[in-house]
Amino acid sequence: MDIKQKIHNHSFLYILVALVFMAGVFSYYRFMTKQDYLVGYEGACDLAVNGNKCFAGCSDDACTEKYYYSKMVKYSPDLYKECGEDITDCEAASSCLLGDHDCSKTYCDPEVDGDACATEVDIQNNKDSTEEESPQNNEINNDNL
Amino acid sequence: MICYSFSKPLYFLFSSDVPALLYYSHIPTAIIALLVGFFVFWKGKQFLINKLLFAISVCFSLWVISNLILWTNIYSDLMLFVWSFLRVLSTLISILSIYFIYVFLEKKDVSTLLKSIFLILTVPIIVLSPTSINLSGFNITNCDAFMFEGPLFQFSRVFFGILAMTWILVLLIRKYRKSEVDFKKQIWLMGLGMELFLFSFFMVTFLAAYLTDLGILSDSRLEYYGLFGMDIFIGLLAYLIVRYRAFHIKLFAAQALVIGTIILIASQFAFIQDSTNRILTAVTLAIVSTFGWWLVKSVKAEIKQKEELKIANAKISSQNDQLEVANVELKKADQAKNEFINIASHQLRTPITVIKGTISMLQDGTMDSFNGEQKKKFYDGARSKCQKLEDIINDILNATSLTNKKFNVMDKEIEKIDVKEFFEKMIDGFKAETLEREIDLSIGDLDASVPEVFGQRKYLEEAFSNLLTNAIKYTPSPKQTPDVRDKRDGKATIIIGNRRDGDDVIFSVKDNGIGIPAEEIPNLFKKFARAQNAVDMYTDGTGLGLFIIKEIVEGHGGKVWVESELGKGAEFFVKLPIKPKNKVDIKEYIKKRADIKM
Repeated sequence: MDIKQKIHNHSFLYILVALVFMAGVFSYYRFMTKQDYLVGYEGACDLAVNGNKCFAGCSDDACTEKYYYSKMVKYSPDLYKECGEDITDCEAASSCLLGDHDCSKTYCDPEVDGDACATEVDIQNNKDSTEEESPQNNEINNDNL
Repeated sequence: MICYSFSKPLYFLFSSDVPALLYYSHIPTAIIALLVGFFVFWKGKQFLINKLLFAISVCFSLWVISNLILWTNIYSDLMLFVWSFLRVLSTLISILSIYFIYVFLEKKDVSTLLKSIFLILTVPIIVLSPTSINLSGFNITNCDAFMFEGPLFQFSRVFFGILAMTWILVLLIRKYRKSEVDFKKQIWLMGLGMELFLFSFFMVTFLAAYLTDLGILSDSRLEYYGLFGMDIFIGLLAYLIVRYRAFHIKLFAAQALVIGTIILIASQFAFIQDSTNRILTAVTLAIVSTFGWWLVKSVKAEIKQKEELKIANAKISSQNDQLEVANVELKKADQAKNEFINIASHQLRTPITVIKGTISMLQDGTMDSFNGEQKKKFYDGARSKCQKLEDIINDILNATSLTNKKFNVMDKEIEKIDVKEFFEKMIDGFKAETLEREIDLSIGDLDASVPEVFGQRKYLEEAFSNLLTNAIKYTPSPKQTPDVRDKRDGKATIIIGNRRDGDDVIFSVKDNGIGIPAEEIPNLFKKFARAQNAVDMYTDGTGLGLFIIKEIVEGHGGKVWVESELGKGAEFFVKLPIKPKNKVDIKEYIKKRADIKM
């Protein structure tokens, strides 16, 4: 079998392997080098300020302890610049800043999310909390800042 | 970014946040698939089906390892990079499975059209996998990318799963209907294994999510159970290899059993937590490996012995056949010897008796009492019997020579023969005899398109001379007694003719002699064969003439046959190539003969 015939017979395989390899290179460049993606996470939410617009979550299966959050989405390079690779204890992670390329913060809507939102009991229990921000809308986009 | 709620894994793969069953379902399955795939590929690199199974096993193992990385890791960059490949790998598994089953069933490669269809289905998934259409982000709280997965890619896995299962099912059913019983069993086993694998791989996660939505299941993350489908598939493949030698591999059950047991015991390490159990498992593994190795070795030796016995039996059987052939040849030789003795006793003795009688008369002076004419008659008789003896001896020598080695026309001895001149000379040679017997021997229609033929003149002269001798001999002459003469209808004639037949020429020698009984014709060209009416007419005759003709004609790459009606004559046909093709290089021939003698 000559080389031409061999290439013809294996063209299906060669095309697939070449495409997968190229896709791998692009993926590596996008995700590992450029970090061109959004990051979703649970940002801080002050019950005293936002009341039942905060999402309520349980720290364990038995739900002995609750925590409150808003849903944050930020562009990965911005978040990395503001907080490093770990967003724990990073205040900037919980709000959209002026320089952020793509950022959104979503609050709980009792009519849509129902039981996922904090209740009046939760608000009462946390009334001493410090007010950190004053939301005007359910959702604050980067464009509004 | 890192998933802040989870702990860092050890060596990218080991995390305390995941259930032990995850490792049990992933690591051994990936290793088994890869090992079997590589083993099959290694044993038959040239076969497409082996390559395809290897490709499926590589894609599957990569998918499993990628999936394990996603379960255990906390680095969003790495996880997205790996995640982007999952759909590519599952799509490849689906398409390669269809391709694999097609080749398994049809024993040939798929058409270019089908390959193009495979590419059309696969390329969009591969090309779009690094883009936001596949993945736009990552949730570092849940440590997954489900909410950022594009709808096209979300449904691609289920789509390709259903596509592969349906396509393969149709292929299997269609082939099953037309197949032999033995292959039906293979189709059934392969189909069952492949469909189970595809169903568990592609559908379990989807079904688990659906059942969780319905409230029937509490945990939707059940994909690790789906991987066990591959183990079942591999088990059935192993059975197909052992039972039917699928993938052109010779593997025996003991090997498969030992390998399977070792892998199963080794996979226990994936979830054993305490040291005591680890040590016990390690000891068990060592014992099973050692005894397994002995078992395989002894079974191998036994199989080798059986195969050797089989070969020896075949050899003995072949030698028996050879002995039988030799026995038949010996019987033939014995028969030939008897026939020779018969000829020697009857046909050689008669002329000798006549010659001896004439010499005795000369010795004792009886000859002196005869007049000149009477003496001449005795001398002619003795001379004629000497000639007869010479003819018989020549026939016997020629036939013996042709029996010992097949006559082949020699390239260096081939010469151009002018057909007309050849037969004219031959007729001249028989002039005295034909005149004496009042037989009209002539050349009839000669085809002008073949004025010449190529062959070994000496042998062709002998062949045609034998034919003409027979024709003259068995065409009754007016000089013979009435009972013989009356066997002929009209004047005694022998006509020589020829006609072209493609690259061949067919010569004919037609007489209006006594003819040949139809039942004698099939044996006529065999050694010592003589038709009964010929024996009745002339008791002498060796029965070798036609055999010699046949050998010479076949040596030239030709054919001889006869058409005859009893009492009305016979027509002998000799078909010869105008230029012989099966000629032998005389130098090579002499060299070979010399080698044989040495």
